[in-house]
Amino acid sequence: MPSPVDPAAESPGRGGAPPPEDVFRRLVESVPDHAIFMLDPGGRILSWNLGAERIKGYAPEEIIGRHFSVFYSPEDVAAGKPERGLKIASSIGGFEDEGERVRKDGTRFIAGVSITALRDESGRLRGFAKVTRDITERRRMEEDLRRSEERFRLLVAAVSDYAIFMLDPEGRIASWNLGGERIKGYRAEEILGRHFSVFYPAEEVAAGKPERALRLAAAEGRFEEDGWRLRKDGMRFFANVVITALRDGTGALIGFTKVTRDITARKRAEEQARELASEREARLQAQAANGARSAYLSMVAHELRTPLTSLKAYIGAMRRKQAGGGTIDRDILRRLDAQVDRFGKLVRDIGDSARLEAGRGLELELADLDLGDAVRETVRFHALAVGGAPGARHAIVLLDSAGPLPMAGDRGRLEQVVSNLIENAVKYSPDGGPIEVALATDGRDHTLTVRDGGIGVPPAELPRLAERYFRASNVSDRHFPGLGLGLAICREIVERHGGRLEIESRLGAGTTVSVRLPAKGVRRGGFEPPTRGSEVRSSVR
Amino acid sequence: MGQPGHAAMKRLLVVDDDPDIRLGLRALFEDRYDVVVARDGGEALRLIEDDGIDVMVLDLMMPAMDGPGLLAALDVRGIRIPAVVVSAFGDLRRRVSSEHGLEFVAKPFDVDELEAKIGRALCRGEDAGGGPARGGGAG
Repeated sequence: MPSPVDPAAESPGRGGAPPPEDVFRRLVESVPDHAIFMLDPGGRILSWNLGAERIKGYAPEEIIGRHFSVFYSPEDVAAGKPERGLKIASSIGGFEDEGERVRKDGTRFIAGVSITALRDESGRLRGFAKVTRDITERRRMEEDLRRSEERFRLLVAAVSDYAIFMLDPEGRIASWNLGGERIKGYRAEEILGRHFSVFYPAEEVAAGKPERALRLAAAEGRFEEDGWRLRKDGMRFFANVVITALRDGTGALIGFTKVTRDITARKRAEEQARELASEREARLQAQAANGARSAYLSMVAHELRTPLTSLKAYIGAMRRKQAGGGTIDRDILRRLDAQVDRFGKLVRDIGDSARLEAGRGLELELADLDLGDAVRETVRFHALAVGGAPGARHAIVLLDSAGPLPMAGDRGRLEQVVSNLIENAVKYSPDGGPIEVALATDGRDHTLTVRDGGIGVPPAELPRLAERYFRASNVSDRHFPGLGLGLAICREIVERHGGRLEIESRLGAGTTVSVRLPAKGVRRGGFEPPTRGSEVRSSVR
Repeated sequence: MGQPGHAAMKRLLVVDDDPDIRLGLRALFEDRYDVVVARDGGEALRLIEDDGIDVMVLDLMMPAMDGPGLLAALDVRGIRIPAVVVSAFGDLRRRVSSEHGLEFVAKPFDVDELEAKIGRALCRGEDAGGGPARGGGAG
């Protein structure tokens, strides 16, 4: 302790200032929060300050001269505590203590006490300086904090659904709870001090995942992820992990808290839900495909039953005529024959479609032929069929001024095209009218055109019209039976001949199908592949 | 063809959009019925209203007015015609909402079965007290 004289000697207030002892005394007397007073060597009180008066409740005149043991509880006095304090202070220079003290009014408080022995230059004990603070409030707060921490520790320890633990800055496990034990399978004594990468599958450790998680948590304060983790027994579980960086008041990293939840069940449930949804989707698709297939088969059956029905009727009629001794109408025989052909064509169409479906093209039997001849014969056949009955609505008109149209081709297949186009023209002009079949040539290409004034095709559907199984919405709406095969097969046949099939149509105003066939495009033993695809377009007139 | 207007003959209307079925049924029945044909419901309705029909063989699926459409149109007019409904689809009965005391037969039908059903439809019509339906009349 510096001599009180020295600072005073260097003080700028030298000369007019009061003596330094007096300044010091007044300073001490005015300190309000600390009781600062002197004891004589025997423990009697020699001085008293404002803080002492406040803390202990005595005025200076009430207390100066009394023994300081008056501040102790009777038990402490009986135990010799006051004397022991002085004894220790006098032997080693000082003594500090925290303990219960008694105020003048008898109430007790917690005091922080320090006693310092005061000796003169010769070393003789002159007395003691005693400083006492009321630390009741501080003690209470410390106790509250301790209790709160204890409660929190117990809470964390008891949580069993979450592994909640601490890591030191390097990632070693510094605390453990029941949840950690339950979820990860380690007891506290097995895991404390080990690195938390023990919870990661080997490949993730190799990929540096644990370090990365700590780095990100340290950099951003918090790191969260869902991922697979390992239990002590090697089983994997799917975890939700949150790592939070812990920093002290200066911002220095002191470790991490880690909260891990086992969400395997949730993940499984989600996966199951996803699987169920995709199974359901697949089932619906299969049902839709089955529905389309069964609708198609039902249409096939319908298409086959219709000619069978007229066959039965014609045969029934002949049987009756014969049984009644009458003669069989030649017209009926002719129609019977035509119905068998019709039936055969349907079967052929279905067979062709199966070939195309299987990715095999239609095979052509090529021969030199006159396209005009083939078309004329087919038109004649259909003109008889549609125009033969009284009140016929359709008239098939052949515009043929082209002369012979020689080409190499499959006559049967080309007649199939002409038949199909005429049948479509008849079918899709239910109000009747002329059906115009025209032939033309420019020497290089022969052109066959079949035009009707029927219901036409919605423009948006034209591009799909020659697709297999496609049927325009206005025919499927209006009860026109059909398989959606005819045009697709026609196009295939035409393209196999190196030609093109074009469709023009206006809804409600009719349809024109043009077929261009190269006069020399197909040679026996092979033909050039078509260089351009068939075109369908909606004409605007 | 046929013996139109024969006094003893009942008048049979065949309604079908397929010309061969119309012709086939005409050939089959023209020696016992006065057969008239229509290619859709609209034409059939005109014949029924104008000529009077005793019994009809009605196809269900036709463009323009179809079989169910014709039956509904007859209902609206209060006209009841004994009918045998034919269809090339299997689920015949589901396709007709009103029963009309109808007979049903699936295509391709047996000729004798069809004839039996035409006879049965006619009996039903007579039991119900109806003569041949005429335009705007019976019902």
